[in-house]
Amino acid sequence: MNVKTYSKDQLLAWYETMYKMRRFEEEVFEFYKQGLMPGLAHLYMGEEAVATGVCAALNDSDFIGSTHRGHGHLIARGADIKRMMAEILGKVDGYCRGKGGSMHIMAMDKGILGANGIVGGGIPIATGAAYMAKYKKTGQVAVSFFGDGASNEGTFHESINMAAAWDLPVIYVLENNLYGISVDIRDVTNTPNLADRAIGYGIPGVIVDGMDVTEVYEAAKAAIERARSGAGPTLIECKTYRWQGHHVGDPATYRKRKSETEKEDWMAKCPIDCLKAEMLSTKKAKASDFEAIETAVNKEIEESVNFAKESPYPDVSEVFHDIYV
Amino acid sequence: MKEITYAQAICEALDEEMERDENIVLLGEDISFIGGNFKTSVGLLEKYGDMRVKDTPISEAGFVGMGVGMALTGLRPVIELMFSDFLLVAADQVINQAAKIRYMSGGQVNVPMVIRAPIGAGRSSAAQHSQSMQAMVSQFPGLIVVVPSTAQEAKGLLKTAIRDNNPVLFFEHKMEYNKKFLVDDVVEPIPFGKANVVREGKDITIVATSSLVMKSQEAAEKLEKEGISVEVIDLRTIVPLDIDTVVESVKKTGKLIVADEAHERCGVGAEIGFQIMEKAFYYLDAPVGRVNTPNVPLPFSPALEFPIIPSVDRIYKKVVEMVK
Amino acid sequence: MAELIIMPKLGFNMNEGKLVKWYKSEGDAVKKGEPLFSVETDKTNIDIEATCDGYVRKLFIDEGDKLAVTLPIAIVAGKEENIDALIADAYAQLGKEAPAEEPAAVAKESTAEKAAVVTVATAEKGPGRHIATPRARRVAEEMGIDLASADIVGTGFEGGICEKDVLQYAASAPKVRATPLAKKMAESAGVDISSVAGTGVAGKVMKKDVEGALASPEAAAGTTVGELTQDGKEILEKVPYAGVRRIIGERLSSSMFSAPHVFFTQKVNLEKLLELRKQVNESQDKKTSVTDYIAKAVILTLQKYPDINASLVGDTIEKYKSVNLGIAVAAPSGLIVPVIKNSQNMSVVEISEAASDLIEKAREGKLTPDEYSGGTFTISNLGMFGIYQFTAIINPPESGILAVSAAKDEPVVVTNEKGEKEIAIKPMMNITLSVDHRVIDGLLAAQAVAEIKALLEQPVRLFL
Repeated sequence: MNVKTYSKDQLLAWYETMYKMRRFEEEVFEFYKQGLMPGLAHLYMGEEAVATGVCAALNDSDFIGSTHRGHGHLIARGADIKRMMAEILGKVDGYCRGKGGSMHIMAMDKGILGANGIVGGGIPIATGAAYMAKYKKTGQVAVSFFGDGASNEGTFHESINMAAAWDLPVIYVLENNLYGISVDIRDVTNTPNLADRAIGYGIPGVIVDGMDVTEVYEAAKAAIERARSGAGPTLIECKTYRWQGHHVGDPATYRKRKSETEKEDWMAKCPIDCLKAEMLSTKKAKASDFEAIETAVNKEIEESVNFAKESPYPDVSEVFHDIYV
Repeated sequence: MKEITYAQAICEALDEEMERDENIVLLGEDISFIGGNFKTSVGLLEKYGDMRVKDTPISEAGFVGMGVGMALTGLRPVIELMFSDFLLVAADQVINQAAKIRYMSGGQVNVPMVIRAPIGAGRSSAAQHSQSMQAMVSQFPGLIVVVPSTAQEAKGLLKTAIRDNNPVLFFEHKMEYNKKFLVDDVVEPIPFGKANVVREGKDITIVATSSLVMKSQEAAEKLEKEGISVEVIDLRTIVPLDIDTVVESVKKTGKLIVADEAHERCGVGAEIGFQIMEKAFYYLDAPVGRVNTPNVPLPFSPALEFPIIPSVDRIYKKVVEMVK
Repeated sequence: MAELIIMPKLGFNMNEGKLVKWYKSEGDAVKKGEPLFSVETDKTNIDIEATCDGYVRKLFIDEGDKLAVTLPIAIVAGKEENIDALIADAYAQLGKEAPAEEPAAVAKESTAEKAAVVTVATAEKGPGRHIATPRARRVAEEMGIDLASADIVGTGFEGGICEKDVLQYAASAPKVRATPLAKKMAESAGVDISSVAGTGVAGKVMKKDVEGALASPEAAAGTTVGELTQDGKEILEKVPYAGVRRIIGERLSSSMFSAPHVFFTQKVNLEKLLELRKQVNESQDKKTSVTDYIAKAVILTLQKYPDINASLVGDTIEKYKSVNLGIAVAAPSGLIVPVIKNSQNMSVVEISEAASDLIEKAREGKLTPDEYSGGTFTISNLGMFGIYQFTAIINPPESGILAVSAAKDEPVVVTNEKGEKEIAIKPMMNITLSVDHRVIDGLLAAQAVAEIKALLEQPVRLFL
């Protein structure tokens, strides 16, 4: 882990973002267990370094497209966790007034083109935003987050092909957490490194350790600069892992098929713990620095939980609003 | 007033709107250099350049999805699907994404996008290039569904579609493209959700879409000579549906035929017929009739295809059956 | 499963029925519950439904034929079932010989197949009297045409009545386009309503139109020159002695000739009753009529003298505990007597409610046979027409009928508070009881009339 290059403030900011994601998901997990959360909860725990590293390299005016496992992406973009939490509970103060829920939080004020319930559904949408940026010469870029599962959808190939053909300013961030629900990507694809697919479209394909925020940041920064310069898209494959099953309630028994200790091995690489340990060992920060961050984040999370709980449900009349302009 | 083809009218609407608003961008297969498979974007590449008139790869889901992203970020994409059948290739982007994003975001965003797609049988294109998808897509809340009749109507309605802030499916009838129509020199946008009574009558009402408006008018002229007075309504848009105009007409005539080229099952006729039953039950003097494509895939051979396409003769016979 | 269809007995007095319409022809498929034929009873036409699925294999009578009840009129059986024995039996019952050259119809192949495939459509099919489009129903209602009784041939969907049929009917039968009140006014004034121009919806003749016609000079003149009889009488109109008119005629002449009528008249002072009625009508919502009080008085009297509440049935005189009181009503189609069943414990207001409901139905021709049969005694009130006195013919098989005339102010001798006799003006009404002398003697009849008078003159007793 390359912490030497970065300032203490930058590293602590990443730590704070990742820690917030982790705590947020833990609260969502609690909500879910308490029966307060409708629908399904797809948690981002374990993958925090990906969203944090990529979004740290973006400008505020840039766009991202998220996925059904999108809470981390939103937090990385600085979305209001009160409104996120309210949305997850289906409350009227949620980003989508309770009409989207966990899987579909959209926050246009943060350049978030929407989380998407359809695997691969958001890839061409982010590509379209990049088309706009190129045509209007705005200097913006778009990041499309998606998983290993989506890399087998037609939209992945169609979008990368067009973006490559037209040098669109878009970065495809493939969060390879190994599983599409229960199916191991290695069992359904004969491409050990999914980034290799970039070769077929004539664009760079980069493989990074998705558990290392500094490595993700570096790769993203390079790809974003390339895109902004008009040189076209990059595919970044982040090797990562999800702590939980596909969603809360998935026992994830499939993880032991290849290795009894697969989960434990990955958890040993926890992006949050590792960053903290590295910073402490290299004297980049003191334990008290982390305590201060954790206290502040925990307070913010608690506020968001209370806000979400107290927010009313939308009136049933709202069901007929916002279908058409 | 001038005489131009339906395809030229589409071209003019695109040109006039693109001239007015630089956010309008055309995407589609073969629309750029050759000006469109049905010649509906001739000359636009030269005038507006490659970024605004974009030939895409054959990736319907991909470029329709791009259109959604463009619409979310300030552009007004107008996408051409070479055949309405290809909507199914892009169905996720149309139905799960474009139609629902505004709703799912709690009203944060709009998707001001137009998808133009030719419908209709009659070219021996068989079952994958001859369908009329207007009934199917009308099922999905969030989409506007436009079924213009004449060139003049197509031009006015396309302008409205482009200016509308909702995702609009704009179905052009492929058998009309090369026909000539009289079109006003200046065509203003035609509002959605207002059906057009194109012919007044007292014995029976035909509410029709797309080219069946013209076929219904032709049948009506023939029927008038036989003493049957037919009212013809051009529906213009299926969503929003101007049921009030149909109700008013049925109150007068007591009889209704719904003519739409999509398959009969669960179609426009089923919807309008049901609403008329609810809203004008005591004015109905006969069961509502339908003229549609039967529930079979469109066949290739002209010997098989032509008999099942809704025709002037079928409309004529349906009226006679119901009025005499 | 072969079934012999008979001329149904649909009323106490119904001895024969007239087949008005066959909804099916020989060979047609028929579903259980589908109208099979229409029969004219003594008062209305009634549709009879098929009681089993099958095919109409044989019809024994034609439309317009009359036949004694319970005799066979048709056979419904399986498509190819052998019904020879049944046909022979039917002809035997009809007292005819089976025509040799007339084989039973074989079910029509196409109809049968259609019936098998689309049973619903077939079931709804029929010559239309009961099928009408929603629009036709609405238009008919607006024009005051009763689709159930009007003889309209449907040409619309599946033979149903459509708007055009109603409009054509209205044009060809202008008499129908009139309000019930206008019809009644025209009838009582002897004006042909078809000659009156209507100003209502779709030319419907309204009350004011009849008034206008009556006021015009032509109405009185009677300008039409009609056909002359052999002895030179000018004919105004020829009306067939048939249908309801004939049934009324036959029943009343049968009553008059078989039951020796005796008549008992009394004069009743209505002063107290009118005062009481005023109070009753002011104290509650249901407006009672004088007839309602007379009905109550009659009911109480019949309970006191059950010998009058009786019928001669063959060799037996049946005396009834139930008082089923008939009230004669002049309906547009002729005289009809709706019956208030089991009226013995009803209050005046209850009687009033029951009576107005039935009278309304009678005027609209909507009475069911059950509602105009089974009476034990009848009241006929012509008071509203100012009749001073009349006698009524007994409605068989009842044994008595009370004719009620108009109340008129008359000078009468009364005893004042001082016990002196003086002449006073009182509202007096004649009532005349007709009884069948075979069943009821004069003394009993006289007692009964006196009781009715007493009850009406001390009306508080009606509420005890």
